Amino acid sequence: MTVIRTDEILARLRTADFKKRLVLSPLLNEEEQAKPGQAAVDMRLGFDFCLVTASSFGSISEFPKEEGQPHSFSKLYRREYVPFGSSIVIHPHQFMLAQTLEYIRLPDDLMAYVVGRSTWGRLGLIVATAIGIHPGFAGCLTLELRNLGETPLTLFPGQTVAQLFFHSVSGKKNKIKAPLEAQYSGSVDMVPKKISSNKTHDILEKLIDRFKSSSSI
Amino acid sequence: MSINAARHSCSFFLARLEGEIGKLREFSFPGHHTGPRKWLNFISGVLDTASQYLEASQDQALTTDQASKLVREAETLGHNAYKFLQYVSGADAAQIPHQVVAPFQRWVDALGIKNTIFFRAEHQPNYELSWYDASSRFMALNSPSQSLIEAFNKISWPILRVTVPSQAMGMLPHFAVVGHELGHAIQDQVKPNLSAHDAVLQDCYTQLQARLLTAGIPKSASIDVRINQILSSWVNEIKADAIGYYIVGPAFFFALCGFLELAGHGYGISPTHPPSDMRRKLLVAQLSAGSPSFVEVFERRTGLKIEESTNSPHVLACPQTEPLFLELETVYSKVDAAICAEFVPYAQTVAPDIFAASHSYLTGICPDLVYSPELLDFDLQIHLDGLCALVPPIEHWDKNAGKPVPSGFTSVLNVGWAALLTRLEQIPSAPIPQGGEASKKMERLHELLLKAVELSEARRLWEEHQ
Repeated sequence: MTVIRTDEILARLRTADFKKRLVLSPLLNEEEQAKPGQAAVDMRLGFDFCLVTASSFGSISEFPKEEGQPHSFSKLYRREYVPFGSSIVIHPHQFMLAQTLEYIRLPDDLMAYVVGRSTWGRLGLIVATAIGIHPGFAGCLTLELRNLGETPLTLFPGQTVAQLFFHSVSGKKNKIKAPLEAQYSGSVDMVPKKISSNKTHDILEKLIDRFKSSSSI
Repeated sequence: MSINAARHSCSFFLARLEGEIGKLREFSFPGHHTGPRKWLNFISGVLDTASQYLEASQDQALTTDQASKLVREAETLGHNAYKFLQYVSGADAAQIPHQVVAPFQRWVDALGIKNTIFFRAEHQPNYELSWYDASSRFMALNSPSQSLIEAFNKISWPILRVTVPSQAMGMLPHFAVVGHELGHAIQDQVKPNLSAHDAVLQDCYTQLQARLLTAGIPKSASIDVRINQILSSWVNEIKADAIGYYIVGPAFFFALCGFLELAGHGYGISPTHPPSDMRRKLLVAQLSAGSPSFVEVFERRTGLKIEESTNSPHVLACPQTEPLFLELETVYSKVDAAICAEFVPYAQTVAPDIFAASHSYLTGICPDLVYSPELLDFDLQIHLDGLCALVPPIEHWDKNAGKPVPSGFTSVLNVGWAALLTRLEQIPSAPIPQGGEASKKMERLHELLLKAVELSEARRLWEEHQ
């Protein structure tokens, strides 16, 4: 697994072969976001934000059979659309979801890591926790923002908040490619739809039922 | 004492309305469009004026009649403000996808429409352009408040409101019909010369007279007025179709036919609209014209030959004059039914000239807005496969210019329709719990198209501010 330099990343953006093409769209200022000689591309803050709001839910559970648990994760968030020129404030210790402005599609032989920019880090802003992006991923990246600092931070869509490091991937293509039907492939929505895969969910559900029936004897 | 009670009652009413406006001001309007906010400021100005009237009515120097008149005028203004509030319902970002408003505004600007405009959705299967002009009422007002004067002057009257069905939130490609509504906004500037068809007009007129005489209705000036009204409405509908078609190309045809199909299975003919099948036929004739034509390009790139019934198989063919008249008179007056039935041949005859005049007008004021088969060819070649592989048609790399070029709204709509009609099986389903497989694919396609509109507009805005 090799880290890809920006000149190769830029070449991959223009590859005629669609299957090998890397998509980062739109790179509003290519020279600034993918500086020659470096090994990362800066990502900008997008327009959609999901703010976690106070709720009466007792807990978040994948199996919301108990009262006080949400049946849809979307109930946990308040959406806010912030256009260019406007801003949103993240307060100390606040958590919110945001998106990269860029739509990303990785070809089969590339994976990436999304990492916060150090400037923001020094101001207390953590940008992402789920940082691995698999080959075949297509969509806008969801950023999990948290202000660990003691001062509110004003965020403007279009600011560069994160950077992507690309790695080449070896191995059989069809074994590693993220299926197009995967939860976050082609995703332009930030709200999670499910916690486990269908198979894991089904097995866990059966185990829960088994535990409940054995406890009630 | 009773004037005092009326004053208090009115004052309470005005305060509640002002409170409501305050809440609406906190709404996010899509694209941060200024239209709804200008309208809210106008209503607020009306309320301020009403409050001033109430205050003035307390002047001890006034007679009871004078004070009473001021209170009544305040009540009337409050009543009007209440109606004005209804006008803006559905314009907030929760009702209309925010991404589409800026591209719509670009159409509006390119068409030279200077009026203040806003877009709103309602739970009706209806696309509509409505006009509201408060100039005459404003001029008649005594002592308008300063806030009303300022708000009034910031609006380019008449204010235009484009209504789209709220269901369209889930069907971005259907927004192509908005091209038709904007066509209505400029219909008076399109001036086709239809005098070459006077003979056909006369024939239709003679047939109408004969039919009305048989029904015992003599010739009259009011019937002539009605003929003019109905023909004028039909001509305006054809102009609006033509404007929509030239701006949006095949996507307009698909969107209009999709709307006609969903709107019901009737003939579509009424005193305000010519028959649906005639409108489809006219559009297919335009789509087939030229070399290469839209039809040829679309078929070569997608395998689908565009025909009249491509996505509207249940729109009924308009029957011959006699059975049509018999059906229409069950819904409309005999005169209206007879005019509609007898003047279909005239509408068919003049339509090509209306299309030509619309084309000429558009190429005169905004040639870049006219969509062409060459552009469709390029858009489908560049973006259709990508869309099926989950890459939204945001932009393309221009080798000659050495830079990326954002996709136009029209390009997104056309690629979207091509994917919807010919490649849906290749689009992966969205991971949503509700709906069948088809609706999950639609949801994914819709998300990708909205993202394309949003990000191509972001590129455009960014470059405009470099």
